[in-house]
Amino acid sequence: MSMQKAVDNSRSSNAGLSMDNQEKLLADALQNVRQHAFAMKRVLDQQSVMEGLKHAANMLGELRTSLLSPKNYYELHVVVVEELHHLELYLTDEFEHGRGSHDLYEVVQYAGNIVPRLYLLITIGHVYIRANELPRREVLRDLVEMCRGVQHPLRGLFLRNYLLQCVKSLLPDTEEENQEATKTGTILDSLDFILLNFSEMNKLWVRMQYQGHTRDLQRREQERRELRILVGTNLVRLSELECVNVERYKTIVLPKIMEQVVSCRDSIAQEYLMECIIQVFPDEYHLNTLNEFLKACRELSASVNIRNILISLIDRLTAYSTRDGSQQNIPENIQLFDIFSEQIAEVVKSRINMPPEDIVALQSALLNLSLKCYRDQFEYGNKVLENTRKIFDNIALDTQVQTGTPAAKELVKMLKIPIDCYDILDVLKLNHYKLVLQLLSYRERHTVCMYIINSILDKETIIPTAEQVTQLFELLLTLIIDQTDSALETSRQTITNEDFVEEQNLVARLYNNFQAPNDPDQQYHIIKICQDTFKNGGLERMRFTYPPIIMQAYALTFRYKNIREQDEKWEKKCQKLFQLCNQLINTLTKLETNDLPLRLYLQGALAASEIGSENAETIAYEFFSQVHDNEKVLACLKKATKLTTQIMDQSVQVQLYNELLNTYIYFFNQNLPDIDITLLNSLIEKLQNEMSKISSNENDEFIRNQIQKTFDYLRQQSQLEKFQGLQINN
Amino acid sequence: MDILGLGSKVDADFILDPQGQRKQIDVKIDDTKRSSQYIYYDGEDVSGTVQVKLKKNSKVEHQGIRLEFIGQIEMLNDRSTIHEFINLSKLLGFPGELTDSSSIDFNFGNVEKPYESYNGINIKLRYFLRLTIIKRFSNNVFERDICVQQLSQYPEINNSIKMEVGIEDCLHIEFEYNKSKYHLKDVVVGKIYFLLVRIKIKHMEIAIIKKENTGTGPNIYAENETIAKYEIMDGAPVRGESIPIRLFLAGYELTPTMKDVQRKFSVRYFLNLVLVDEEERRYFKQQEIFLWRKQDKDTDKTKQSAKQYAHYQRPTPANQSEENPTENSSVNEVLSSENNSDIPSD
Repeated sequence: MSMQKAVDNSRSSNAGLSMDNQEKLLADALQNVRQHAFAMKRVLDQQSVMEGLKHAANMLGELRTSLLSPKNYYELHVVVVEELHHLELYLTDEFEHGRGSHDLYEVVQYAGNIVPRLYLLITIGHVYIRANELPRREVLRDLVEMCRGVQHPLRGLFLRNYLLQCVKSLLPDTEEENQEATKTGTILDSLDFILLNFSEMNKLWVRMQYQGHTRDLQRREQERRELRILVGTNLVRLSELECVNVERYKTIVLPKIMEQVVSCRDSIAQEYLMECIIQVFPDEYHLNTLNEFLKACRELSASVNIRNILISLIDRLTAYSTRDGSQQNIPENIQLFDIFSEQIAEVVKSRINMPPEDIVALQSALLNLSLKCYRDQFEYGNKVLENTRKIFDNIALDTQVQTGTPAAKELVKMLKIPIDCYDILDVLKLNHYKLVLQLLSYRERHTVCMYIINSILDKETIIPTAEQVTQLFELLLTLIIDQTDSALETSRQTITNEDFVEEQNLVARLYNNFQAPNDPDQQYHIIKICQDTFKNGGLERMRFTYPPIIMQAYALTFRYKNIREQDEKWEKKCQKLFQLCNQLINTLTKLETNDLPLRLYLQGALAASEIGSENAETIAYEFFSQVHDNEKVLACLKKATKLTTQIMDQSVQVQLYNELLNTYIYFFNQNLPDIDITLLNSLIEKLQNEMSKISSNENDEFIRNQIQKTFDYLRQQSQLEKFQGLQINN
Repeated sequence: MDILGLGSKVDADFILDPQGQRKQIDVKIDDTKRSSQYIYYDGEDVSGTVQVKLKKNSKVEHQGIRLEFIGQIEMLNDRSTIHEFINLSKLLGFPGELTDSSSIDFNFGNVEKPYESYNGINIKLRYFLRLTIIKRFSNNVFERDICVQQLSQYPEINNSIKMEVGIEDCLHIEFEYNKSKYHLKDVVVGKIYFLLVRIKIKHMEIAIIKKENTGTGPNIYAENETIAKYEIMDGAPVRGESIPIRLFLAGYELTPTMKDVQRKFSVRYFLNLVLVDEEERRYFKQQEIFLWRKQDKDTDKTKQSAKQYAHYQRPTPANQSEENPTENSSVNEVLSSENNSDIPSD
């Protein structure tokens, strides 16, 4: 009878694969299961165990099918197991009432077909163990052994899954010294049981490896992947046993699992199982078996994505070591970094065809680990960066990684890690960081540099020494000077490009973080460094980068003045600063806009006057004369006048007219040829007109005073020959 | 047996076990008929009481009442051939007249019963009591079958069966059964190792085959009957797999192995290991096992239950000296194929 059925199966196996047919096949099978299940429950209600078992066997016969897809077989299995549960409950109940039959374990073994027989045997075994009818240890061993009879991958996997499910609560979890141990078994029996079941299930699963037409490859592999959880459940069970400790894990569990994982030589299985091991077992276990685990990694099939496995482990241990905010979780005797570092090097060495992005990703994970677990040991992070650079140098010396490639992306990710977990001052201690950055092409370098600046600004990190500033500039060079490999970008690096403006504004803002709070001389050095660096950036950048230097320099003069008691050379230093500013502003005048240098000059003059040092006047003069010498001053003034006339707010306007007048007077006094009495007169007239328009509230009182002072001065001066013809009313 | 139909006046009954202590067995007579028979062993007395019943107000004149104990072999395909190997006779009553129902005790002491009762396809070995009321014209004959079981001792030598078989370059397997001699309620425990698998096997089963040979010389009849068919593997194994075998015998209708009984017949048993491939080709290897009847005793309970989960353990090498060491590269014996022309070329 069974033979006949088998023939039918093979004949219709092709038809079984079409999807419509699948639904019908499943529906039919489910229908049969329900009928048998109904009959089973009916006879069990009449206390007829033997009849019940017969119906159960018939129902289980449906699981012998070869026609269903894995997914549909699963559906069927779920329903069958659910129905089988009725039998189990009935038998358990019988035993609880002292009516249980004692020979069922043997009786069910007469079932002619192996699949129904083993499902029944597992069910009875389960009941018998719980009822203490048979020794637990022997039954467990028997069940897991007998299941070898089902070598069909799909049927075997589901059978063993049922086994695992049934014994879940029955696995002995006690130590060996227990007196009862011989009968009930110990943890060692449980380990044998699960490890054997695991190996067998994995072998079955691996056997589903598809070898047919590539057309179906993806679908078949997907189907296979969906079954992986069945295999993985064994590992979950192992992890749930309380008597498994680090020692047992290291000496029994892991070696056995690894033996199977390595020997199965199937990349889908290896990838999944390694990931599974990492996720289901506790961190302490991994910490104590790192070498074993990593050694096994090297023995995996060449097509296994080793990168994900290793990263997964490193990330997990990194997270563990930094949990609760401390690094105490890692025992001192475990040299996490060294182990990973060596093993990863070995892995990379053993896989000649490993793509560079994978190597970088591994190094990234390692870097992450070293920075997070060994925060203060910069040599670790540095070593990783050094190795990364070396790897690329070994491929091709001094060759940039092409933009947009996976390797480039991984490198960017890697370089962001230190920025995220350190502040920049610590990053600067990683002296190989720069070398790795240099591996990148322009666009990726740009990304990283922007990331660095944004991070500094966000964290408001203060960079206190000139040396650090220098180092930082070395990193940020891409943004500071024109890059040889950015030819395409260079043309766009002007004020008209929003991105460029944003970029340079950031660079400029960065300057505010260069602060040597209690050391003006240091600040002075910083200013010098900035000047030295920014001067190579071209005029378009200077527009953004110089003003903060200049303003900072002015500010520094005030700081010197404040400490003039302690620093007798303060005046000299101030002078140097003014000279420097002068030089810088001078450069800026090359820009087509004049108001920027003008304002900076004026600001400088103001600063000089406020400082009031011995030579302040000279300096102020210098500044104004700079304007003079420049000849563009007149243009500046004209433009200023024009701008002033356009101002809407009258009081501001008047104030600016006053300033303008003062400036004109100054230059008039300086004998600037183009400025004469007529010009002054027109300005005076204008100012008088405008002043009469403004209201006389308190705010404006100050302005009036100012103007009054100007006029007073002029009246005074009008007596001089030079001011002849000045028209000013009294 | 009253041919003329006149003897309905008299009937007889055999009371063999008045105390109800003797075991009985349900015996299949033919496809529709079964009967319950008392079980006897070699050397036991066959004793009891014969009740002769008369209809009321009738009388039977007879030439004597005789009781026989007979052991005979019947060739079923040749009814005429009946071979008696035992015939013990007792005269229970002298010639006279029976006027009333009467009971007569009898005893055949220490009866030698050298063979096991057997009810086969072409042959029947039976023991029975025959009561004959001898009359002038036609005798009244009454018969009563008993079942004889032949108990054996534990065999002194009981080696495991181990053999490597296969088809060159296609399939090499090694199978082991824990014993070569099994009692009727025994369990066959074994293992099958797959050493080489290059064909797609669909499943594997073990069958118990009974071979009944009758007759001699040119008149030999051989009957093969599959007593049990038992799937032991589902799906295709790969090299290196070992598949457990555990087959309980108690559930099947088996007899002890009988060899050359009275030079009339033999009954032998074989375990047939069958592998079926995806094209439904069957590869098989038959191995004779010797069956014997063990005395029913209340055996050790734990031992009894342990067989439920017994597994084959390879005997230690010391006990294995009689067996040939197997070599993995060569095949000792060739697996039979159902159709030899159909052996796959790989």
